[in-house]
Amino acid sequence: MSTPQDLEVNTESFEPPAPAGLLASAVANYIHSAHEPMNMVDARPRDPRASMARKLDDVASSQTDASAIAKSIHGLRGWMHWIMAIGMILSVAAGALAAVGSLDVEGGDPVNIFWLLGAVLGGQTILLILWLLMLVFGGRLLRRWSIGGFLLGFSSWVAARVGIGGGSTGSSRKRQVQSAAAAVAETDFGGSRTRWLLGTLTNLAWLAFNIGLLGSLIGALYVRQFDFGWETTIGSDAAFERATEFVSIAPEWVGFEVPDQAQVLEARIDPGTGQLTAENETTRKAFSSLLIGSVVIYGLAPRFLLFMICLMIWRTTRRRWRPSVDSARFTLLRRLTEPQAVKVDSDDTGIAENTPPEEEEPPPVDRQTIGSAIIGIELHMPSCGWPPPCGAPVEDLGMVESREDRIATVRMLRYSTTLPARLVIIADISTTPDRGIARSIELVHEAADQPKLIVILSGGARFRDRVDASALERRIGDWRTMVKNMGVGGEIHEVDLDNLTAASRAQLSEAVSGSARPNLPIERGPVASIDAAFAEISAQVRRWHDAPTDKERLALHKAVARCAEAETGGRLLGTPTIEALTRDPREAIVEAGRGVLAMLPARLLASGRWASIGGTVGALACLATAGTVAPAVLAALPVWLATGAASGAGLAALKGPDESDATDELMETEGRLRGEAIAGAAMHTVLLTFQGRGERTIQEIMEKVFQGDPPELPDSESAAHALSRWRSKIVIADHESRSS
Amino acid sequence: MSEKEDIFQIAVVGHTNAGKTSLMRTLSRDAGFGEVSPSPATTREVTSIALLADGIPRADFRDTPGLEDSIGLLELVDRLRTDRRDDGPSLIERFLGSLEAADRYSQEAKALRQARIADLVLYVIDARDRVLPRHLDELELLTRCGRPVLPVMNFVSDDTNRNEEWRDALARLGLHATASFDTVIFDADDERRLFESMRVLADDHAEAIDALIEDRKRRRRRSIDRAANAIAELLVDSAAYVVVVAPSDEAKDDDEIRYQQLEAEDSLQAALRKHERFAHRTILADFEFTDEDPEAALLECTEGRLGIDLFSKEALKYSGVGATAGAAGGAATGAVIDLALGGMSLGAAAGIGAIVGGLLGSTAGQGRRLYRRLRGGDELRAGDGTLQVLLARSLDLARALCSRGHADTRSIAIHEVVLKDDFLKTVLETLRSARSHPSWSRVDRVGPDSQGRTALIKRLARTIRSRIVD
Repeated sequence: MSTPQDLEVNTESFEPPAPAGLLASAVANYIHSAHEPMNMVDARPRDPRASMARKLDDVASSQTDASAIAKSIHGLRGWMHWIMAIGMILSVAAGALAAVGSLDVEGGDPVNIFWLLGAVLGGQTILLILWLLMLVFGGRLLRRWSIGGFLLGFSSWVAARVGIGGGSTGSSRKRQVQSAAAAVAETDFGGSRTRWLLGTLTNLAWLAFNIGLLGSLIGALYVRQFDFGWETTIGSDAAFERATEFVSIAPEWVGFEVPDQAQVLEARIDPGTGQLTAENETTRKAFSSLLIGSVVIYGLAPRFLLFMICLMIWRTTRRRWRPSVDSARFTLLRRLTEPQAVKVDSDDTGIAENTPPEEEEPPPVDRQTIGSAIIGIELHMPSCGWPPPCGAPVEDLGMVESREDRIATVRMLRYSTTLPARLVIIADISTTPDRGIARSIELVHEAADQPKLIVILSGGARFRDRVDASALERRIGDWRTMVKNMGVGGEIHEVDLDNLTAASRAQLSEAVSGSARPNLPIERGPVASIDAAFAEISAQVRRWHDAPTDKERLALHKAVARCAEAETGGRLLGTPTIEALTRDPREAIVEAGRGVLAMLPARLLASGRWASIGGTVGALACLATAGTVAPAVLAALPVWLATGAASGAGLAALKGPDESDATDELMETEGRLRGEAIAGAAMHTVLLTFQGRGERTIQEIMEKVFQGDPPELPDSESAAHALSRWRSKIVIADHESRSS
Repeated sequence: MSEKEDIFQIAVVGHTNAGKTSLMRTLSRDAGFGEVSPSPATTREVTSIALLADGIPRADFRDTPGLEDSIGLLELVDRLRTDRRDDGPSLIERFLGSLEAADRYSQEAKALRQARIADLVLYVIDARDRVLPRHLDELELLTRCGRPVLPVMNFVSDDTNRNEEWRDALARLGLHATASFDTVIFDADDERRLFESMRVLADDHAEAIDALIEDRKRRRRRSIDRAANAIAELLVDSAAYVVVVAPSDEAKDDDEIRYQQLEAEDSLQAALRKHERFAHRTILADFEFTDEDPEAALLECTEGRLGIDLFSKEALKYSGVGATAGAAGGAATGAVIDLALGGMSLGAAAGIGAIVGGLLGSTAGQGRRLYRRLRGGDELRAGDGTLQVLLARSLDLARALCSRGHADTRSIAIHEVVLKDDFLKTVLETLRSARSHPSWSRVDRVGPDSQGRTALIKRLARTIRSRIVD
């Protein structure tokens, strides 16, 4: 996402542009418009008591590309200033031209003073009144009609092309400018600021116009001699006299020289000659002064005043602008400004000073070691009662929980004349194997003169309800680590005393009496991996809402493969690799299906539905072990499953004609589809677990496990039942196959 | 330094794996705090976090290593008694100064040292555990530290809890004030009660605790407000969003026109998908959930629910679309040709009137749209069905996050929502005005907020808020 360049930009510290919150708004826009979710830089505001806008600016300035965005903001404003400057120059020129045009510089006739005043001031006065009316009544219209928006659009267009600020390129550059532009549009032109900005700009333009006008008037008056006069066709002379007086009031008040009554009369253009009645130097000067005074007072001054007022109001409203922090685009920044907690460095030092007295060890006695002893440590009373049915006579050391229990047991062992050859510790798998437990076991073990140590973990079913399969695995691993760290060696078995089955009863008695096959890794035997896989399956099935989608089915098989990973690598032997899959999907799927079918016993192979499940298992198994599956593969999933199913069913039809299933046109009910998916996953589990045992054994096990038709499993409860049924059948079949 | 001494200090202690770090996570709203695992001794060092109210640190919570061998330790501490007058704190001090405290019982020593200097000790209990003698030994050790102890029961919402058993056992030890606080299933009221219990036991710091309670209350309200706002914005943006099927002169035959339409559909879908993701990320952040890898966080915390494609059948079904008649149009692709203008035929006699009406009655943008329509272009927009999916999914996320503790590392099942018809109708009705303002959409552009948009979002957020907390 971010290039090294961006990161470099990031480390710069810079002052965010005014007003407070502008940079945050631009950065928020930038984050919002990112194509991929942007990672936030974890910054904290410098001053937690500052205003929200400042705090936002603080955290925004630490984000990726923030300084480039700040540069864009400055750049945009720079461009707008340039555009305004050009506008002003044009206005000055327009003013100058207007003066020259109205003065009729070429002609020698006297200049009609009222005509001239009307030409240079009349138009702008009317526009001024219109503008004032609009300001008062046209708020709504102005809000819509955004000159700011136009200016901004134009300048951001230019900026994006010329490439101001920042060092990055491409679309992120464009986004930076756009984000900055949108933010500036809001702070500088948004809301009521539109009308005041418009006022500032128009008044500034007229101010420039008047400056041009004044300059060119003064210039013309300086180098040329004009006679000023007035005339009328239908008006009375008296009215003109009064009008001159009226116009003169304000300039005179300010200090401009104005013509007196006599001079006004002198300036009457004689209707006969077309020349002035009388004209002299002072009259000329008085009229010139009146002209300049009028432009200053009626043209320049009000525009200047209004310009200043508008600018001030605009600036004030801009300063008062606050980012709408509740808007969603601010969320990610806002979160950084409102930490709810901070990490604190803490010092924790403890100095050892003295040694406590050690307890004396009792002298060892020569004793006879015989049989097994069982002891429950922090054990939840199992439903089979205490002591559990061990199938052989054992010494019951009771259940130990408290310090008193522990002392009593240790004392009993210490002073007993016989010692157990095997010490069987039974504990809850839900107990965390911590040093407290380790200490208890160690003490008892030591007191019993270090016999063979066997740890049996009970309560698996209860614990499984609480955690997921990986936590269970991890917990067993923790127990193993604990026993290993004790340095005495020992076995770990998981036997759920709450739900004893024939198989687990046998396992328990094996563990207690010591007739367990020493070379078989019992704690991670087939049952454990099947349990893990089945737990995963029922967990996933619980999340289904109706018939499983293809993706859900794939997820199921992935989970199965994952659970078997430690045992068998998780890969079904004979399934094609992902390369083969991408090369020729159809062939690969058919082959995978065949691989599975080869391991099916004849009865299942003859059944269309079981065979089709088998084919699908093949297809899913190779996808499940393919690691990250390409989207294209996922897209083709339904087709592949269909291929797998068809190849399975097709082979079944060739091998054994079974009318009952072939003609079976049952409705594809939800329960049925779920049942088939779950049965497929179970089949995959069995295949994975036993695949080292040889085809014959697997066929026998499958024959015993999957009896009848694939079941209908409409809900997660029935699925759990079916799974536990299969589980016990697997355990029995496994046991039988090994004992035969 | 003196400031550090003055701050309210709380030692969080407990049996290993009881959920001390989880408590810290949920209280600090920081799912990344410390490390949590089912293995023993996950926390080995004392780590500290200061809770802020209005940006000011008010309480210093110290996460300590778990007490593992309390039976052995209590035995040791008892052996350290040399004088009849030795009381609990002096025995503990003696232990803390011993070699054992640096060696075999170093973890316990770390925890007890914190308990000695803290203003209050929170003893975290996994309420699913049985009350075992060693738990009682732990409590015995803690009470000997001479500091007020407040037992906090974690996982109280679990079905297998033993709340009563624990309360009874604690009462027997004279610990009558207990607090229930599930770190996984968050309950704001429980949190408030926890703080109130703390105030009872640490009266000196009542002001700090009140500030925290107040701050948390405000934050919670604000989180919900903001989530509602985010959902409202998502909906307004999506409703207003328009993709133009440009009428090009080359495209004369139907196939090409259809192709252009499909392309427009694709771009509409892509834009809305991206926008939804952003909104969901926003909602996560509103509830202070992790910002790192938001996609993964989303997928994880919703069991992949929100990973389902926005325009897939599953998403539609899950949101109850299809049941409502109004959503039928465009449900499959999520895109519909804008009926407001697209439905008008070129030759309609009303044309002139509509043009005039369109130009006068609406913004300049409307006129341009009309012009485009007159030239034969279409406008695509999200159908009501899509809006419904967006609403249902984001509402679900917000509701789930409302009661999700920051210690929860599991995915949570999102219940299938049933959007009540009248609520849905109100929302879609409210959104209608956004339909005619494409410029309001922030799906693929940024810009200053217009007043109309802001007002609409505000109105909609109010409606939606009532559904986040009911």
